[in-house]
Parts: sequence; structure tokens; C-alpha cells
Amino acid sequence: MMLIAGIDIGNCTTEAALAIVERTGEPRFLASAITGTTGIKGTMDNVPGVMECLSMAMAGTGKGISDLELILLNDATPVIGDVAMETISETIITESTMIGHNPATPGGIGLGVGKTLLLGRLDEAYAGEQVIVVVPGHIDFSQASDQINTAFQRGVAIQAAIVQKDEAVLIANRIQRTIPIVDEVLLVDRVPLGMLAAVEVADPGRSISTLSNPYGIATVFGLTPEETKNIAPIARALIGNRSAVVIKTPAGDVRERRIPAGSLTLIGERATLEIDLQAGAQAILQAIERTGRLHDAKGEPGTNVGGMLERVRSMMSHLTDQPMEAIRIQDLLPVDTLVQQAVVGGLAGELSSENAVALAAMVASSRLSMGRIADQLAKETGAQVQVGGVEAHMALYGALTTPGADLPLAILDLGAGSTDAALAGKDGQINVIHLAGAGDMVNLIIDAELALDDRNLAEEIKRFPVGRVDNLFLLRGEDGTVRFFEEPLDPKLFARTVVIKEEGLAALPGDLSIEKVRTVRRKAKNRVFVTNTLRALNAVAPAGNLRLLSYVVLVGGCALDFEIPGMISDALAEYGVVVGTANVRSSEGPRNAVATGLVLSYANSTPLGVSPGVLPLSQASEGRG
Amino acid sequence: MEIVHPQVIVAVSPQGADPALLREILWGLEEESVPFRVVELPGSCEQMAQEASLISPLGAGVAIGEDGWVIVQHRRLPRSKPLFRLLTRGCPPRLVRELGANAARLVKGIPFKLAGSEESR
Repeated sequence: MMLIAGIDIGNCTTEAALAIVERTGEPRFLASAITGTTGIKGTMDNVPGVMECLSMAMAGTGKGISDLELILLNDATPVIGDVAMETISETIITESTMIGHNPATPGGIGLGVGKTLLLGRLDEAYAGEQVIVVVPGHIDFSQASDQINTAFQRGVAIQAAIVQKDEAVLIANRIQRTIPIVDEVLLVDRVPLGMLAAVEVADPGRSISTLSNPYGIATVFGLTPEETKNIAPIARALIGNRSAVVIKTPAGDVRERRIPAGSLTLIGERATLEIDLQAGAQAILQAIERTGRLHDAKGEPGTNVGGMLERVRSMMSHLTDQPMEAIRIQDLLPVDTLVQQAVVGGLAGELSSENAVALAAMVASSRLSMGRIADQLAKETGAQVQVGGVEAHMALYGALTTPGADLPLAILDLGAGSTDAALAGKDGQINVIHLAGAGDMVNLIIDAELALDDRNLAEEIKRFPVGRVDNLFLLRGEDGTVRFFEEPLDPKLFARTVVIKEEGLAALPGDLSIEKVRTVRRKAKNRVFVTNTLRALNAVAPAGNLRLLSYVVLVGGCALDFEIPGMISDALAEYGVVVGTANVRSSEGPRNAVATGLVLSYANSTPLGVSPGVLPLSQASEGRG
Repeated sequence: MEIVHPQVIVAVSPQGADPALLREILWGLEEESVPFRVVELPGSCEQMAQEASLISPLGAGVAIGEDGWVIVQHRRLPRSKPLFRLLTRGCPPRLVRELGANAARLVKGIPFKLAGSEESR
């Protein structure tokens, strides 16, 4: 009888399974524990996390670390993933020709067209001249309205106003005629003066109709068909706004530039193919399928995709301590995205949607050295430490303890850097596949599509549902459920879209709506996790036929996600597969599969025989001496 | 029958309020296009604010105290813990106007302007 511990050091968490193993019979599990991994997986920094995890597991068992005779350590998944993103289109507005923003309170109503003129020079305008008056921040609304009224009396046809401060309604209420007024224009001093401009403000609850229509802008400014083509991106960027300004400058030129994205060379088992990034994610995925298992991928030098793969390569070479030439990309996952980017030449921080391609890459790493970690652990615990067992095999052994699961069994581990799948057939034959693209890529897409520029916030959006704080005491979830609070919520959260975390609410920046966040989040998960689930299962399924799979269980942290298991279940519904979240040892849920598998494998207590790397009990005892 | 107008109530003390403060508050409300009414109420600034929020059919009140404090209050908040309070002595007028705007935004259900509370912290 001996006390042993299985330890799984993952990217995020370290898990332990503590068990008593007899020379004959099944291991008796005493306890499990989970802690955050300390340091980067595979480095000496992991040791404190392992020690903490062990003492957590020991607590309450009446045993101490000194009672421990053997520690089994997982051999890490031999792949590392990385993600990169490049935009392949760009909207540039030279000579600042557009202000399309949504101040909370624009003033007046309608469309006004005229030459831009600074408020201070209003007395230079002649009677009947059509002008749009520009009010800089140092002038207050009462002064501005007085001067506008004086000009009206002289017969100057003021058509509209552009105001820096938040005073549009105050001005509108004090002038003799109703004109559209746009306020909160931050960079008002960059508005070109003496130029023909149009200002539009829609009724409350409606959005502008003329300036969001290319032909509307063409009508206002008398544009040629060629010019109309050029301003089309402006019109598109203004759709849905309650107010907007468009200014026509002589050199005014808006272009939607297509950036040469470059081509991708895929070197595979069956073929070598070259494909242009512009062809889109779907076409690239099909090409990857045609090439068979990838040996490497290269990007055209001097292009975006070239730079992107170079970055991945240099990151990988840094992590794995291999020269850059030795890094082989073994899988790619492309995803088309729309990125919110600041318009070059905008005046109020306008954003425009640009096409981008996100790429996840996976590289085989030479074995992370778990040996040194094992030595250090042995020193600190006094127990013997063994490294071994292919991680996917161990996970399969652990997952098989899920009630209701049986061979042939496929497991899916949706991690941070890679999606891993393994299938154990009825005959004990095991197939393993690692694919590029998982949680990190979902974060990248959420970050870019919502223009957050904050990867941690993107991670929170991925993990938790969103809601809106309807009033100081009431939170409405994205599914319509309502939660009341005894204490008033922080005013910072009032009327904001928030992430509903376990430890509280976090407001999202800007005016992101619940619908937008939810749509982007689900789309990102769908395009990464569901796509990869199908790719992975196709790769391990007998004859590539998903119908021949019987049981699929999800393991790892992602299986605890509030919507991913449901999405995967939906996607697999048509194949007649039993798919669900694992429940390791009937008690651990999708956690602890690898740690449990290590113990079972050691005790020779799995239906799959002995995994290479872990010694059977008899030999191990001899070796221990 | 008395008609109940949907208004934010702005309370000033019977001794009168600093006209500059009152103006900024009212401009803040006006820019947000929310109707308001000014009433005279006795008591401390906290008491005035709570009373104003209770009178207001919209549940939102603003009080301008004689001591230079301005308080924005909601009907369901305790008297001693109002939504916003600001000591206006020596503070830029735009922050006072912001309180007026926030009283309006409380009613409209759109996010507050928070330049003032950021600076005072």
C-alpha cells in the first residue's frame, strides 16, 4: 500500500489527484485539488504551485507530504499555439472630411448645407450667404447664441452649427430658427474653414438619412459618379448615427485602400499549395484540408502574412529555445473578422469596420523539460517523482471514469493555445490530434471586433455573460432575467453594459450594446471552437466519419464555459453522437482528467493497457529500492 | 385635479441660493432636455435633496445648500448616501453643470458624465 499523487501542470491550472494504491486492485482516491499554475508551464517556477496544490489535497486526509511515496507528473502537450491578426483593408480620409459621431444630445433637427465659418468671423458673412458656424470651446453658449441671432437679423442664412462643448441643446433653445447643431466635437480646431459642409441631425429615436446615403452626399455636394464612389465609405461609416457632419475639401479624398495581404504557401503531406490571404478564411481552410497534415507554412516575404508568420516563428523560437529555421508550423486556423479601427483623418474618434484575417498557428515543441521540475519536486517532498505518459492518453484514462462513457471514446480539450482531441477505439488503439486555435484566439477576435484594446477584458467577456444596469438597483441579464440589489450599484455602472463576473460587475467602455457583445462573443466561439471541434473529430474519427463516434466528452476548463458545451452539442446533433461535459470519477466534472489518468495508468487499472512512459507498478517498486 | 408634471425637482433654501450655482444646474438639465422645477425647501442640504427626490414624480432631486454643497439624490437612496455630492467652492462651473446633467441622465437612463467624481477622488 502506498500513497501517490498524480499532478497535471497546465497552462492555467495545476491539478492533483491523491490516491492509495495497493499491489493488487484499484487505486482508492482520497482527494483532489486545483490551483493556479505558477510561472510558465514547463519551467521551474511551476514548483511552488505544485507544492501548494499537494498541500491543498492533503488537507483533511490526515496525511502529510512526508507520507507521499510517489509523484506522477504529466508530460506536457508537445505543442504551442500563437495568434496574430492583420487588417487587409484600411479607410483613410485625407484632409479630414468627416465627423460622424453620436453626441448624447445634438440640438435642432434637419439638414444644413453651407460654408464653414468660425463664430468670431460671423460679421464678415453677407446677407443671404449660406454658412455653417463653428463654435470653439472657449466660447460659451450664451455668447454663441447672441452672435448667431445677430447674424440672423442681418439676414445671414446660417444653416447649421458645429460646437466643441456639450451645449447644442442650450444653443438651439436660444436662437431664432431651428437649425441642426452637432456638439462634443473634440477636435473642432481641425475642421477646415471656408469649405462646403453638410450637417444633419435626425429626430430623437431616428438615424440620419441623407449623409448615410452616398447618393444623398452626392446630391448635397453635386458630386460626379467617380467622386460618389470615393465617398461611399464615409456614408457607410455614418449609418445608424443620429447626427453627422461631412465636409468637402478641394483635396478631400477618401479611399478604401486594399492592403496587399500576401499569399500563404502550405506545405503538406499530400500537396503544396499557394493561396492568397484575400481569398478568405473559408478558402484557406479548404486548402489546408487538401494539403493533408501540414509540414510547414510560409508567408510571402514583405507582405502582411509574411510578417505575421515571421512573428509567430520568432515567438516560438524564443519559447522553445530552438533556432527560427527549425520551427515548423503544423497547423493554421484562419478566421475572417471585422476590426473596428480609428478612421485616419476623423475628427471625433470615429471608427470604421475593416476586414482582417486572424491566424492561429501551432508549432510542435521539443519536449518541455519536465525533468528538472521532477528533480526539484523530489528534493522538496522527499518522494520519488516520475515523468511520463502522453498527456492525451492520460486524459482519456481519466475521462473514461465519467459515468455513462464508454469506448470508443473521444475527448476534446479546448485549451488556450490549441484544441486537442484524442480517440480511444474499442481495441484500445489511440489517435491524437492537436490543432491551432483555441481560447486565445477567441480573445483576440473579441478584442479586435469590439475595439477594446484590452486582452484581459476580452477574456472576461469570453468567460461571463453580459447585462445592462437598468437603474441603480436593477441588473438585466442578456437573457432578459432581472436581478435586484439591496444596495445601490456604483454610479459608474449606471445605464452601462456590464460583464457579470463572479466577483462583481465590470462596465464595458463606450456604448457597446448587449446584443453587439453577445453576437461578437458567440460568433468568435463558434468560428474557433465549433470549427475546430469538427476539424479535430474528423481527424480522429474512424474513416473521418463523425457518425462512427459514439461518445464525446469535453475536458478541461473550457468545458465549464457557460455556452461552449451547448454550442458544440448543437453542432454535433446531426451525427447522433453522445456529447457532453466529462464528470471524472463521478465527482470532478471536466477537471482532473489527466491527474486521475496518471494514477490509474500507474496502477495499471485502465481498460486501455499501459501507456508508454509510465512503469507498471511491479517494475516501479523494484526501481524504487 | 392637479396635474403631475414629470420634473426633476431642484431645491434651494428659503434664504436663496447662489445664482451662479443654480444657473449651472439648470443649464445641465436643459442640455439634456429634461423638465425641471425649482422649489424652496427648509433644512440641511441632505434633507433638501431627499425631500426634492420624494416630491419629484421622476424620483430625482437636486439640492443647492447654503454651505456650497450640491447634492443629487434619488428617491430610493438613503439620505446620508446620495448619488452625487460636490463641494462647489473653488470648483470649475462645468462640474456643477455636470451634476445637473447627471440628475437628468438618472431619469433618462443613460450613462453619467463622471469628470467631476473622477477629479474629486
